[in-house]
Amino acid sequence: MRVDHTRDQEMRRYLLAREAQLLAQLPSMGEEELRWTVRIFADGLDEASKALLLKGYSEYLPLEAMRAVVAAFIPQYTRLALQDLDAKSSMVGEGLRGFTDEELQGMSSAEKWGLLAKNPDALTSSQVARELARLLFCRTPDLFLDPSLPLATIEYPAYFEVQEALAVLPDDTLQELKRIALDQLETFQRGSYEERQKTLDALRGKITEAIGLPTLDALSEGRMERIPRKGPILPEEPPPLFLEDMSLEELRMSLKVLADFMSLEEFREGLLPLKDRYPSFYDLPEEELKSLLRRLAFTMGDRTILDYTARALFGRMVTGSSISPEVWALLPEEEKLQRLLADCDRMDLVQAARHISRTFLSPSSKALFDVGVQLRLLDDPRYRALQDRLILQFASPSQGERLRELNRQVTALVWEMEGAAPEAREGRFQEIREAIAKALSFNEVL
Amino acid sequence: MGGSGRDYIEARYGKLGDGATILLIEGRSYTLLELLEVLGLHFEDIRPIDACVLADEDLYAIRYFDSEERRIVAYEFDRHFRYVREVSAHIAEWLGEDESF
Repeated sequence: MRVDHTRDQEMRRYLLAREAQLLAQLPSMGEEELRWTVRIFADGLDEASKALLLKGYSEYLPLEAMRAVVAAFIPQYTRLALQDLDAKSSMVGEGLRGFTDEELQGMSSAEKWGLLAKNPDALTSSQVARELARLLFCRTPDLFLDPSLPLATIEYPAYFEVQEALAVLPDDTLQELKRIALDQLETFQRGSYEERQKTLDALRGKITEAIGLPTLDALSEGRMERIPRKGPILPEEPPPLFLEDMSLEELRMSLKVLADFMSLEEFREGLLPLKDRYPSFYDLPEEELKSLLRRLAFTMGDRTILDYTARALFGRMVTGSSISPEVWALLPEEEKLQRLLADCDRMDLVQAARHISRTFLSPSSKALFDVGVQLRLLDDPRYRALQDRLILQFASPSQGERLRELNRQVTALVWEMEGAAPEAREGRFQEIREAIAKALSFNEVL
Repeated sequence: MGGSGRDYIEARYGKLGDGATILLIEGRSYTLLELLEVLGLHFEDIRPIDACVLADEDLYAIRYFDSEERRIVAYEFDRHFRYVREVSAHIAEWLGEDESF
């Protein structure tokens, strides 16, 4: 482990000075400048952070409303960047994983793909999608080597549209595109300018083919036009309309997410009657699926995939109503813990088993807040196997009490971890995973 | 006190946390902590939340959490930082079903 204190100190000073400067300039910023500022920062955020920090933001907001949102966003973004810096301070020298999101934004595609070749799993799926989208804007080998490319791409609506198109591709397809890019770029440094151009053209062709983009000609159109170009997204769109826009695959995934939060009783009431009519939920007709989702959304309220694992930080609850992050942040720490433990006590054994399983199967503390990691667990056989094992092992009433106690312990330990110094968090998290393994007498890998 | 209740506070000043973290008053920008200081509200148990401009009335407001009283307070003032009025509501109103927690 190597800690680069000079980098940290310089970066910290830079982030704080930039925040102060931006806040001072904010009153005189025009509408386009505000949109540009949000775009450049938001481009480096994961989806969960973006949703949290930019709640209520739209490029179609009136100027003063936009300014108010940006005034709140900048300090929150800086706090997140400082946390990221703390988390990465002990990872310098560990390739791409050791770079903060801010640093990744300031690197050339050539440098990032070079590092990715050494550690192909270092980026999340959304980060891979972002890098592939940037590749599309590398019209020439010079741009591939240009560290200011990320600053330039955010000006074009197509950059965000390409990312959206890549994000809905199956993960296998995205990974395959990444593999092709890594293969083709391997020889990039050794080729002549013409050969490099040819490599880039071929690669850009593969990406456009995967997302069904007919031509690359329009990529640079509409500089700083508002996004989405089709017009503003209305806030809090009612569920029926939202469901109408979902593919069958998305509808099934939504049902999986909701089912993952159900108590056994809720599952029996809401889903078991359908078992008589359909062999599996995959056989539910689309209309029936939509109708079921509407009912469940009404009875279960708003849910996010992070509700099991991000409770301590954001005030989400598995049972009962979640508390808004703004109000959660105001509560005394001891009260937060008591509320989290009360949530544990309201969970039934199945929900407790899911909470423990998700914590145990998250490979790092950061994965607790990674939407991609938590979504993939729904299809991970280990997630199901661990739940089954927990439920079987603790099936009797006396054993059930042990599971509840373990659930409370895990909750309290995660809460303590969140309050620990950033450099201590990852170690604490691995201790929590070890504590779970010990409590369950694991002696083999699941 | 001029009124109370979450609904009133959110109707007048917006959803909690959605306001600004700086205000521009008479050509100078103020952070929330600076506002608390200027207004004489900078105490240990006061945690600022957000601020807003009440443009129609030429007034400003800062919202904060009084952790001792467990109340969300919206404090209104004019461009000379003179007190105009305040409204408050118990934080339980934002916490849903566990009001007696």
